[in-house]
Amino acid sequence: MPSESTDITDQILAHHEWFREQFVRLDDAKAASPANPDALRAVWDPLATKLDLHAIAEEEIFYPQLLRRGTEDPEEATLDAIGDHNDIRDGVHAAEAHTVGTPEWWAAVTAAREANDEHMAEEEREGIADFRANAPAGLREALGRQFARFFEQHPTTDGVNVSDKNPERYVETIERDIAQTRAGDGSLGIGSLKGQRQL
Amino acid sequence: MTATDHLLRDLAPIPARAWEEIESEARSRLTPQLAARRLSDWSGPHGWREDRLSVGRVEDIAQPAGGADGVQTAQRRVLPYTEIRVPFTVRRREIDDIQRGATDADLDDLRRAARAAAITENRAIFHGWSAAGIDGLVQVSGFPTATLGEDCQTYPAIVAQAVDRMRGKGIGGPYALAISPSRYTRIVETTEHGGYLLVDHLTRVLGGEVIWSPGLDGALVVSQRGGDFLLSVGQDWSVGYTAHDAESVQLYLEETLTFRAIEPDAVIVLADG
Repeated sequence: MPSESTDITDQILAHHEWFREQFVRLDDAKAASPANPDALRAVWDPLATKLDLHAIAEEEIFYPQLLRRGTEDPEEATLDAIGDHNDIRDGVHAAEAHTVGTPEWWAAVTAAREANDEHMAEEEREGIADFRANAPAGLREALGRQFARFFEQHPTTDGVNVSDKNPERYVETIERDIAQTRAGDGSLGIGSLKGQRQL
Repeated sequence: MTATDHLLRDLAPIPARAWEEIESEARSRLTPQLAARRLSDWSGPHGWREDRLSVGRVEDIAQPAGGADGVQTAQRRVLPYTEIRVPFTVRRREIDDIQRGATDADLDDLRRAARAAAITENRAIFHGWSAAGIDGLVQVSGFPTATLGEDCQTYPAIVAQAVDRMRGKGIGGPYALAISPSRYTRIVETTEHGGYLLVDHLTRVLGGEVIWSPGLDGALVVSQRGGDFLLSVGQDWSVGYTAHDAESVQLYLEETLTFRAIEPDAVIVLADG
């Protein structure tokens, strides 16, 4: 799964690809007759951990910068994304409460998968495309290094708060930070334009 | 004094919503016109109080008169920041209308000021500014000046030759073409044989963008690999307050900057001709 590129958007896309592959592996394990709970757990446990961590890493590193740099309604894209993350988390955490391989477990896993599919498609069309168009390459690479470091520091969800977030409150908090940063030096906050497309 | 006290914004009779509108308009007008900063690495903002960029070099100077023998003296070389201020006026009636929710306020003088501000920054970087101690890209280029003809169908070949000359000196890409607005317009209007857009052809040759550049005479091919040109900013463009009367509020756009061209071989001048 590790992406060769340090660009945060490339790394997110590489994670998406890995998620898709793991869900297909889960399909294969389900199709085996009889289904082997150990085989299911071998695929699901790391997948569940990565779904949780991926959402948190995006919330800490990617979406605050999308709100700063995006031009295609980044606020709406972020609200959607945090809502989707909550749905994914709900499915992942619901699965933990059930025995692997039971219908209840599959229902929770399917809910997480459907929420994740919807989220990845929207994010690739909207937030990632917007950010690639408007954030300088240097920023994307610096964020990519932070993103990679997050996963090095958190091989598991131990110590990471993976509870749901209120999307509106999340966006308000980030936007207040942005406003305070701008007010901090009193400038218009234009800054570097190198690598940005001239629209 | 806080970082923003000198702008005296608290003294302006402008409510928060109108400030937001004025700043939003200033930002949206300035950003597309600040062409030169699209070509430069960036350092800053370092704040209003910062007053220079160190260049890491010294210049030998004579020691004080009557000094002892055997003493070596040198002075640090710095590039001082230069203040650019562009006044503009907003009618108080427009401010009131913004507060009422108007979205079509007359901010024409701000638009004029934003253009003047952007052109000043662009010209300082492109053509230099001797009074400010700034050597511009046109002045520092390490290559003989090439000429752009009137026929823009010849531009891909001219730009390709410029790129080859830079590569020949070990200056990597991607490269950008900064070009004056009138020539830019001709480029985007032109289609080559086979229906291929000229601007797309140029972008492919460069590996980078064609940049509409108000304030530039002619054009420049500039390496975008990084590390060659530095725009250092103390205070980035900000809106400050000067005075007001019953009819209007006098404001200004302000920035402090300097520019350093580090690698002369990373730019080629294509002069009008």
